[in-house]
Amino acid sequence: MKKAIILTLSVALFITSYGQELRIKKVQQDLKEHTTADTLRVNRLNELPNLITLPVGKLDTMANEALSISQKLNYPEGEVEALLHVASATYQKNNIQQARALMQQAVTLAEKIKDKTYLSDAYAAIAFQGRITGVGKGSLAYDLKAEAAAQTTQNKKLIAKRQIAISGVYANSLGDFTKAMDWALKAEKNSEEINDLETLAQAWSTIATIYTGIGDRANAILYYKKALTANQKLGNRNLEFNLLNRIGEMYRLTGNYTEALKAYHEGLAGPQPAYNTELTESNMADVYVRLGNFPMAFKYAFKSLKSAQQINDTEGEEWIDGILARAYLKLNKPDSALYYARNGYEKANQTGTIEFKRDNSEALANAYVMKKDFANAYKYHLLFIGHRDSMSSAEVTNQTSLLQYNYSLARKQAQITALNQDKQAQRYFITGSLIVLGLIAITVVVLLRNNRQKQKANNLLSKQKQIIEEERDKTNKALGDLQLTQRQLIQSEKMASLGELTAGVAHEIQNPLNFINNFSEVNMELIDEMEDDLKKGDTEESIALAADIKQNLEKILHHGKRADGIVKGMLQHSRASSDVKELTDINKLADEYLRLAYHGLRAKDKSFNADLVTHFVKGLPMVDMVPQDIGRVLLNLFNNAFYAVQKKQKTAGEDFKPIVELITAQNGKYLEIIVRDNGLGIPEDIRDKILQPFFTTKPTGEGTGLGLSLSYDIVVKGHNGKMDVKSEESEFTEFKISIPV
Amino acid sequence: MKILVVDDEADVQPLFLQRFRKEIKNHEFDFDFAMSGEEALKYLHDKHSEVVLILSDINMPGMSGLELLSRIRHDYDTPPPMVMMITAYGDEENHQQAMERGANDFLTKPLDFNLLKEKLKTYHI
Repeated sequence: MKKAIILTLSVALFITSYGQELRIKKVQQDLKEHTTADTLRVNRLNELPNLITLPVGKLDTMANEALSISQKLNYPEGEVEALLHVASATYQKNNIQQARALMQQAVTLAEKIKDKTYLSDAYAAIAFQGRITGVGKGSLAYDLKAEAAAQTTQNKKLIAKRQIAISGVYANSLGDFTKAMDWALKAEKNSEEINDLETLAQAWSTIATIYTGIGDRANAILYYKKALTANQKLGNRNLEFNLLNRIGEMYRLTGNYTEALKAYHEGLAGPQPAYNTELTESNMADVYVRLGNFPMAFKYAFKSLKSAQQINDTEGEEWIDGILARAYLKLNKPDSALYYARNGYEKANQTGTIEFKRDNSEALANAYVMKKDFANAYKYHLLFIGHRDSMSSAEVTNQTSLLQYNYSLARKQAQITALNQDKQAQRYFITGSLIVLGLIAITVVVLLRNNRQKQKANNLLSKQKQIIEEERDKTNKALGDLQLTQRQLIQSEKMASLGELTAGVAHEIQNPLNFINNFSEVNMELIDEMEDDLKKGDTEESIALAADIKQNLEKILHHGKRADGIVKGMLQHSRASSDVKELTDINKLADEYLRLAYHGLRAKDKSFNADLVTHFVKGLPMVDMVPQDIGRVLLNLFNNAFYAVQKKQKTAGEDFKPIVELITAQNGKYLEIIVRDNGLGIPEDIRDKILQPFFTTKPTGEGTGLGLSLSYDIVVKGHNGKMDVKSEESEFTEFKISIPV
Repeated sequence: MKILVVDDEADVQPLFLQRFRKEIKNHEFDFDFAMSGEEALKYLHDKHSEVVLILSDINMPGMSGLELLSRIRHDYDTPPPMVMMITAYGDEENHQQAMERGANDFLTKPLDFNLLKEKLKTYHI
């Protein structure tokens, strides 16, 4: 987790040891007893904030006192330091502009009195503030100035501190791990020379962070452990907690869960550290999910989620949402997984954190697969691939291996220089140094060869990666093409069944038109008659005629609506499915399509005839469905039934009476529609194939072979229903559709 | 003069009764109705001597009008009733089949009653 990096750097600022505790007591005592406004008081006022963290109010008062005394006494050294403390207090009160001005004032004063230590401090303060307030790139210039100033003091601890800061900026803000490693190694060297545990622990921790950044976890663990050992002597609890969490992280990411849990537990075991333990707990939750220990996983996940929400740690929430999503996926609960993954993905999009976009998009893709929603699964899978690839770090590893080589070379060079400088033993050492030089040369050659081999391997790897990526793109494209073809096939199947419909529609529409035309004509005659009767004054007859006219008009209206319904039905059938479910009367829908199918077939084959037997159970509940989709399914089943009896009629002779039955019923939570025919039946050996796409027994060109496969998709995937087939060869076929109420 | 109308659409009955109301009033024609081929055959079985003309739809569920026509021509030849076929498919093939099976005439939907009345006159019914 990335945010832990910033934490270590700031944690390391305060390290208390026994010696320091004594010093703190001494300074506090002096401040109490020595109230004279002199340089001693200024020094003590300036020293205390360097030893312990003071509340902002107290820091402000003390720093301002130190500032005014040193100005009165014309004591610039005290004034510079006091200015920096006032700036720090001002900054903590969120007055960033003014804090910056105070720091600039400190820089000017430090330059004036030519005190490089204070100058370095002032620059470092400006850089630190810039980093925290999010202007990281601008801060690098000040970090570099701070380091340059430190160099002139020859104070190696100060230099090392500044170099660690620069390394941090390169690694965390700029992502330039080569430069980061360069500076961290310089800091390590300086710390080693003075054997300063504090800066050593920081330098090692920084190097480990860089290895983490480039994905070299083995080295990261090595350096974190070095830092941990150094810290044991210092006894800094915060740093210890942080390092153990990071060691746990590295083990977690390398899949060594036992070691990971060991490190996490060790980190949590000591006294409560200065900051939230949410991070470690969430990491443990992740490990427990991976180990399949769900009670522990949920315990730590929900605990840490609560803390993250309390402290507004959005990135933490994204991370924990992903963990919970993965847990629910493993428990086969895609809806809960979707809930958390979607939450996490949305938040990650807001904060722009690629790592959690990657985790949550992967969980979303898997959850959608579980729900059989393949369109969304595919969408999130593509997003996942994109996020994953942008995190790949093969190049960086390459850069660092190069750098490591450079560094070992530089070390040897330093040894040579040292040997040359030693004048007394010069002659004695010349031979030795030559040997050493020779050894170095051999080492260099070996290293160079190693390096070249590594580069070769890396080149090979990146070539392979490129090939894999090309293959992946091809596969994705093929998938896209397939989906397009599938859509086109569905549309052509629709148009094919529309052709069958059209003939049926032509017949169905002539019948209502017959009534509309003729009843209209009758009405005109009746009105003429009524006029005559009215003129004659025969009201009784007129009233009777009016009643007839009205009745006829009702019939005209009824048949007009009937024709309208038929045309609308046909239009709906041809339209791309709108996927809108509506409450539908299944008896009406089934009857409508049965007539359409029957007349469609009769239009093609005049001699064909079948008994249509309908058993509609009255008062069935209305059911939520996409009517044109279910209509398409029914049309398909009817057409198949008619086809089967028609075929049988041609061979069975006169006595065979084709019957197609349509039955509706309610069976518990399902509405059932049964389409049964006494036709050819389905041979047993092809019964399990009939739902496969493109399977057809019709001659080439007569059927697409998609009818039943699409019907199955519509009923099962589109409506959560069931489709059952029963058949006996030469006897009957029965399709049963069940749709949940 | 009895005319049997065979059609599976129920509204055909009020339609014929209204379009021929003057003729019915003057006792020129008398109408009976059957809603399927099977029903028509049952009716003819009892009353075939009364019926002079049969008007039948072709497209009906169960027995089709053409099948009914064949049965009438097979079962009732003394005296042979007049049979006119009515269909929504006014195509040549339907027409030809009806004529081959012995229909006297062929009409298409929507039905033109003025034309029907004229035809009835020419057949001297």
